[in-house]
Amino acid sequence: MSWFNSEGALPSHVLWSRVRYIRNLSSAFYKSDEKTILEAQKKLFEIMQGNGFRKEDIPDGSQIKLRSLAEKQFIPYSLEHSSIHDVYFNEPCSLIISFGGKDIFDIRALLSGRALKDALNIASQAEELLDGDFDFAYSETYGYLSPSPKDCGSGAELSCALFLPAARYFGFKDELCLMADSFGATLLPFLSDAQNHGDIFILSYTLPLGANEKFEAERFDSLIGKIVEREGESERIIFDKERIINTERAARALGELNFARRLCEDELLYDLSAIRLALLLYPEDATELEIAAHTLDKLLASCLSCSTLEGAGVEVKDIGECDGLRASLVRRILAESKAALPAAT
Amino acid sequence: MNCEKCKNKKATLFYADEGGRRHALCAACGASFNKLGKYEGYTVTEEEAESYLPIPNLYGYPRTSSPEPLYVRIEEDIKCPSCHASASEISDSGELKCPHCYSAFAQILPPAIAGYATVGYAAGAAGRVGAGAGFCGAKMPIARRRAAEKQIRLDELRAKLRSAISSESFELAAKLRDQIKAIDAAN
Repeated sequence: MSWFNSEGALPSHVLWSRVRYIRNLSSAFYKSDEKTILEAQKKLFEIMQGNGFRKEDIPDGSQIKLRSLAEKQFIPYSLEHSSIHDVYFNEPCSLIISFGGKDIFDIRALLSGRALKDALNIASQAEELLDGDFDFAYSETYGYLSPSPKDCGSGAELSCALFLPAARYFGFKDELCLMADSFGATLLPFLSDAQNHGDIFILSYTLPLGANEKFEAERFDSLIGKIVEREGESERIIFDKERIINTERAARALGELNFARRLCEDELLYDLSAIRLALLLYPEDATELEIAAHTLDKLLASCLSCSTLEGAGVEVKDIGECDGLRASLVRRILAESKAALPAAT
Repeated sequence: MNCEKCKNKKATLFYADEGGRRHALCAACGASFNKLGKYEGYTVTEEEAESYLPIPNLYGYPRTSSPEPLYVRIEEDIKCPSCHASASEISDSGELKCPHCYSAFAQILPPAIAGYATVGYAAGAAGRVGAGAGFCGAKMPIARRRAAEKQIRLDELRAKLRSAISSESFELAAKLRDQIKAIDAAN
């Protein structure tokens, strides 16, 4: 299942885990030889069809659709600027292969929760599938080549989305950033240009060339563990003393999501953060809140700006209309999820 | 070209700082800019300056902590033989146009981005071999991985052969020699 559709997922500090490979052709980068790119596109289509992949339908010139897929972490944002592009999904939508961005092939395994090893296996198999049919650009000195020299090397990136409200609340986000930095990873806010990012951070690590992938994935997983443990300790120390405040916050947030007629992205992220924290700290209250953990992921993935527009399928003239569309989409998702919840005994 | 600081005198000192920004200063402003006076002796004429290209700091890597000028003097603008992109185009855009550009512009690419190839392979030789990914667990194209694994196997067999010969186990040595021949023939 795609990371935001995994039903039954328990509330977790790790929203998703991702392994990404970028690859280019030995004969051409994206902009240098259109004929080679078109041949590669055709060859990829045959391989994907033969292996059960579904090609995503992207109408010509649909920037909203591409940005919506990028918001959901499925494809790189650079794909929006290329005229030749394809996106393929496997059946559970945990593996996405996109073609035609700044790097020709972008292979991503994206799983819900803390599942880095599984994601690595899936992505690695997909990469070897393509390796058999394409001649990737590779050099002994620089590794897998990319048009952007700072991206050459292993061409592999491990990342995950972390929910860290205590880090923001108590101000030890910088400590976590240093922890990540000393490892060689980066910890950046989700939607870095937004004022409010819902206490969600992206921790990512580019593998050095020549590194053992499984070993590095274990190391990175242990870094995730340390960060989550640090976050959990702080949450337990202080938030437990504020149970009434936090459950009230979550209830108000859920009320806003259920009844607001206009909802901007900041408000959505703030509300999701409040509800997610309550579910993490007091899972026994989940039934009372009448919302499942995976619904929060679905709301996050479906109600960001471009995803809202894409889901609505209509053109909007101003932000107010988008906020209105977002609010109605949120209400619809909540109503569907409430109907799917088991009846309270 | 006039000095960027005083805008009066002719610029005779040209260099790039650690941020990759180009500067053109006259001798007086250049001397005050560099308190250590290290720029004496780096004076160039404007014509000569045209043939200088800064080592691009495209990627945020500090090229060096030294305040020395960071120009590389080249006789002509290098061009990639495959895509015909020039070094100045690459420097301006920050992106290479084709895979062959890496070897064509090797002298202007920062050494910091060169891979850890020898380190990784040494780690593999030390035994950190990852299951399923072949040679030391590091990913590389399948064809190269198979070639590297074959080479490791050959090296191991040759080492065993030398050991067998030195211990006068000639029957074992013969078997090892045949195995080596078979692998070489398959190459």
